[in-house]
Amino acid sequence: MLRKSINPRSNWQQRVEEQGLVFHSPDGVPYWDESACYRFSAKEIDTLEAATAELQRLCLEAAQHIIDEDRFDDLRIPAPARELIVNAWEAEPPSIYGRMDLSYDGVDPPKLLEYNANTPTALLEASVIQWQWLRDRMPGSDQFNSIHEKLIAQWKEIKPGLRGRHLHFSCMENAEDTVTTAYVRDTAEQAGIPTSFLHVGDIGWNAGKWEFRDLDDDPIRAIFALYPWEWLLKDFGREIVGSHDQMLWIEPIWKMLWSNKALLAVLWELFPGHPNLLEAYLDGPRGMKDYVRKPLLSREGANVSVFQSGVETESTTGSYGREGFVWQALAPEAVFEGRRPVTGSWIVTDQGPAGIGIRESAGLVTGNLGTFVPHYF
Amino acid sequence: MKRSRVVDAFVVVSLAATLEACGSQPRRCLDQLGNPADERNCTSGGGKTGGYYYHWGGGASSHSSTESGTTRGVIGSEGAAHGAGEAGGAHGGGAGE
Repeated sequence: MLRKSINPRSNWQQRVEEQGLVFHSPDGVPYWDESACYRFSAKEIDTLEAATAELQRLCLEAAQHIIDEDRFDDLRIPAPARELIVNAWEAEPPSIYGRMDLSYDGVDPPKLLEYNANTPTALLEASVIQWQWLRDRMPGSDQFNSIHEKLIAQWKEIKPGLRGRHLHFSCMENAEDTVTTAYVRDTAEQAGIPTSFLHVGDIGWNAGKWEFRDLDDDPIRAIFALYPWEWLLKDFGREIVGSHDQMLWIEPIWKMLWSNKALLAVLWELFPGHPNLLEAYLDGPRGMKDYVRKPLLSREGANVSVFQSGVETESTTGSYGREGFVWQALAPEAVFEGRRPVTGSWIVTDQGPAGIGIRESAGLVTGNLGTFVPHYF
Repeated sequence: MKRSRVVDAFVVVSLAATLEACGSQPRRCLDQLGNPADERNCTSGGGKTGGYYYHWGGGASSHSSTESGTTRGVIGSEGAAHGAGEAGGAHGGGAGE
């Protein structure tokens, strides 16, 4: 694994915009950065793929443990949601995807930093934009990337279970979320599923019929929502809980077990010393000197504090933390030309590990200023 | 072999349509008589030749009730509280992670 500086395509802005990446340079600073790329060996790609599959196996066991041992309090999951989670876990309603963020330096085993299992983004970049870059820039090379066809394959598996229901797609009015949702919707369309889109603020509630409605005032029976479950429950919990049996939500509510960073501590508790895990606890650093304190539900690196030799050396701001924290060992240093990469490893449910996307930053916390850098092998 | 073989089939069926709505007013696809129509009629070439068009405005986050008894804007407040719509761009405070 190495980082290479290369010349960007002369028309790269036009190329990525043609494929839908309209937010490539927020405030004039490139988010999509093809002035560099990462080169892997085939063996390193195999290592990432195997680690992702193994971590998925561990996460399945951890979720079962949380349910069996009634660990919902550790995850601060509200009481009304717990029965729904248990039922959904047993019923296995459709699920599409997730992204594991891994620390990897090409030498030591990949380590799980967190699992973005509910509302992962940076998907179009990983699936389509870096693939087009490969074709333009490295046509003789390969890429760990079968995300697109696995998404379509997953929708084809889901389609019979929809029993002809129209599938709505929804997200907030935000460019990144809208592009991600539109892309996922596109893959569903290519699998032959009829769809439509509306923003979450446009979702209607009919109290008389006790059902959600779209902009045509038709009932919403199935919806892919790029909107976290904990927010849904805070916004409109009583109605969502009360109508859950009549409505198919993708991702399913049990994903609350994986998108919560308490999962990291449960994994370490169940599989201490596993080569793909970092030491993690729910009640403090327990003697660790180099560790990271993360809110259970923070997004985009918000409210994260890094401690080295017991002293706080880096922190980010945000609106999270009241829900509690997890204390996780600081991952082994992976630095390439002064940049710290985080490998986002995509899982498409039932299809397995599907590919990777790399975001890098200068600091120890990969927040919303990280840049996406393509890869090949 | 890991490489993706069919990404070329990515036809951006829905992407172009929804991108237009990024950060803008809500819209609806209407037919030539002004009746609500499937959004795909406005996005898949049915536009001008088919008489379908977008109507902008109304709807979102108003907490208003329609004559049918449907209240909109019931979902989204928690996301807004966490900074939705700030700064735009790659990670501008949406719900993704």
